[in-house]
Amino acid sequence: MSPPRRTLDVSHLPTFAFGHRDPLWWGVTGLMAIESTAFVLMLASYFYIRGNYAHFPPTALPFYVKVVAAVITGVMLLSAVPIHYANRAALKGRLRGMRWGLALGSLLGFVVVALRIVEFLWIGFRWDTHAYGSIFWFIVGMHTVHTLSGSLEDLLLLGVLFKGPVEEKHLVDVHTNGRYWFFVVASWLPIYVILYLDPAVLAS
Amino acid sequence: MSAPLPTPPEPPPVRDDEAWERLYLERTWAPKKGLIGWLSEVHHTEIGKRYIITAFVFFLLGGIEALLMRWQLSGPEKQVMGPDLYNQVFTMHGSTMMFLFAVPMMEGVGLYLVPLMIGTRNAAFPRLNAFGYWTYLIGGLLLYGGFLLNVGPDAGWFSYVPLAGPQYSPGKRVDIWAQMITFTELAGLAGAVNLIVTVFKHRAPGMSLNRMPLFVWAMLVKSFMVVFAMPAVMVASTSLAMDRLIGTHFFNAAEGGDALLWQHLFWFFGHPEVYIIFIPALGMLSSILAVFTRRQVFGYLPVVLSMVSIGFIGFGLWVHHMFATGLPQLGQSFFTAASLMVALPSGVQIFCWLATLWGGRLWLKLPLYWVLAFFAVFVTGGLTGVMLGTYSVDQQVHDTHFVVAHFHYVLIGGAVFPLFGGLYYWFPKITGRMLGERLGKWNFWTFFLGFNLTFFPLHFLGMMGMPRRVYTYGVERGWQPLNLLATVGAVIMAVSITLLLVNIFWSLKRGEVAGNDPWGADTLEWGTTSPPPSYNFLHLPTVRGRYARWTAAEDQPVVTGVRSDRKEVLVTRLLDAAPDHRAELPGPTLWPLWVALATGVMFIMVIFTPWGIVVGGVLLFITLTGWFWPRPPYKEELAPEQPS
Repeated sequence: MSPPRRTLDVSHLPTFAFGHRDPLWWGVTGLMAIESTAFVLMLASYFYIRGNYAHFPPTALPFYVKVVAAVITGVMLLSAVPIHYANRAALKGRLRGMRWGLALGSLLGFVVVALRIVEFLWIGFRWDTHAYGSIFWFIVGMHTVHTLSGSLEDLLLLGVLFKGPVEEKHLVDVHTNGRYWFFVVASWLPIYVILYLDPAVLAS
Repeated sequence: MSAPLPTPPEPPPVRDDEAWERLYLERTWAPKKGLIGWLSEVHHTEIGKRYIITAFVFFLLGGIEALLMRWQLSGPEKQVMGPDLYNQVFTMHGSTMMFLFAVPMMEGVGLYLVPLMIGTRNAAFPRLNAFGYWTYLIGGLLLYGGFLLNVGPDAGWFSYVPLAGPQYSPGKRVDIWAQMITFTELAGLAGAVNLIVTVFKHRAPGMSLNRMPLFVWAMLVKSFMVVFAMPAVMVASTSLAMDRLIGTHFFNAAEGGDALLWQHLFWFFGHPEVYIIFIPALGMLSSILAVFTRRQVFGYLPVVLSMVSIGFIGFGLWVHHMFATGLPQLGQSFFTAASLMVALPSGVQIFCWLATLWGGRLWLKLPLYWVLAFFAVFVTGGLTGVMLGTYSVDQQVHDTHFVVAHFHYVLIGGAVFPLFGGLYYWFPKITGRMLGERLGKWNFWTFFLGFNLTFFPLHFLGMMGMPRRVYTYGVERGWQPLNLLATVGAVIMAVSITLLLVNIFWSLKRGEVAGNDPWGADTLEWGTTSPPPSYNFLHLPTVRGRYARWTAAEDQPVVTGVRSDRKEVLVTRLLDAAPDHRAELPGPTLWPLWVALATGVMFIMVIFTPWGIVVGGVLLFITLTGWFWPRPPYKEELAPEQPS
């Protein structure tokens, strides 16, 4: 038994926190840093390969594929709205708002995946057609995997929200999940601009 | 929870009673028992130890491969191995030492020590830790399983295309290499994120960023480098695997791909990798220096800034590995300048450490021996590094044994010497017993002698024109005497490592009992028992200076009010480490193992069929759902609204 000593009492502190006070927020930020680095390097590889072609792109993107990609971009941006709504509901602990937000968000996510399948069916070249095809499918495919896994995550959280009981830290989970979805949407924008709005690609 | 607990007095928010506190903590943090318990372990000390032991086993395997190569090269036209086996052996040696020993070893040491050094009870993401370890283990087993089945990779540790591509390396050898990379890098990334968040959010109150031990700074910088470097090699190894398995053309020049793209991607990772191995060693070195000179490290701020700037500069010089590929002149100059620039922060650090030695009273114990040897060996390697970083010199000695000499001097000198110093320093903390002093000196001197005898002659062999990776050479070259000398050195190193093993096993049973703090050290891990209990600290500590234990007040406060009947830890603020909230960490579970196995099925199955993606994807979804499914809730932590 040691004599009584000075203490720093922390029992009054809360058991959860939103935003950058939360360790998981930093964990997901780390994940985003890793994935951003991967996307940046894939885009750098795209430019590296692009430089090898005297005539670029080797296969033109069909007009309807360009339209589908534009629609996908629109749906992507739109999906951020219900997720934003879910995030605000999470901050206030409102169950209904989180459920609607996540349900609509994941639905739009699955719409993106479905449109992507249509795009890949129509695109007219495969990953093994040429190096342009390889890098194109690689980048867009990787992003689709993110879209799919993000939408599945929404479903998982929806399961928790419907089954209950819902703990305070699940609100933080919903909020963190929403932030990750914003990353999925945001990382699509440079990919869309570089892969589809390149003047050479547009003119092809 | 098995046996019933004695009923405590109604849980008071502040428990002053130490015996109760200890009883509760032991019950709460106790690992599960039996095989299932062993497989579901998530505590950082246990995971860290597993990393260290596994990496050490791979170090021994890599060492045996090195001995085989030295045996083969000890004389001209030797027939110990044929060229095919030799190719596999040098590829295995390089891949093992870089991916299965050096990085995981440093990560393991970090995962073991960082939570203790910053005064918390576990890493921020305990299950991610376990997942990382299992993934790493699967990757290592895959590589050695392949080697035993004669499908060991044989295209060198950096697997340059087109040699490693589908056309020139048919079969599964390079696929196994590529997947091993994906496994180990995944593990590396998991560990890095874990370390960053643990350091950012779980430091003891008072340990603001500018009071963090240099070791923790080193681990933080290393982890950031992992986050931005390892994705490059994952993109590269995935592209290579796809070129080989589903016919993509990333590196196929005939279809618009580019072989040099591989080199860029690989070295964008590969050069920072060197610092990922080296910077943690600097942290160990700084810890040892402070304790064995009995003073604060000279120039805390310049040392930290040097580590951070090495972290940045390390990303700007990957092209110096590609000097022989034909660069534009601007590229030659730029990357020569960038390569030489890294000598500046390195020099600042070396001088800070020398000043520490100068102004301190040296306590010549074994950890310090290794650190002093580091200066000699690493500076030698650094000097040849400055030579090689120069475009014109590199053109002459590229791909010769000069390069082999250089990087063994920087990697063994820069990382293994401090690591062994760290082993002698932290062994008492990890095991509770001291390593034997006498055997330790034999271990040190034989290693130092053997190392220099092995690698110093390689400089001359390189300048005499002996290329890397040749499986033999003709008598008329005149390379035999120096090669034989190098082989003798390698045997002495092997003897030295054997002595180390004997010392470890002897000390585990008979070593002197260490007590909490045999060195009178400054960092927090020495404030708890050796080995630490499953909850690390009876009372979470607070800190009021850079050298936590040296600057602690007579009545330095301890943290109370963190629940001991749950696995609760304190979360503090990023910059000033002021208490912010309390968080519960997950306990032992098998889910990380299942997720790692699902990942294993996916990555190994895709070597044979693309269906691996589908099968692995489904398994991953199922296992991840299990991982994230919430535990039974606590009433007082329920959200305001509940499903009806």
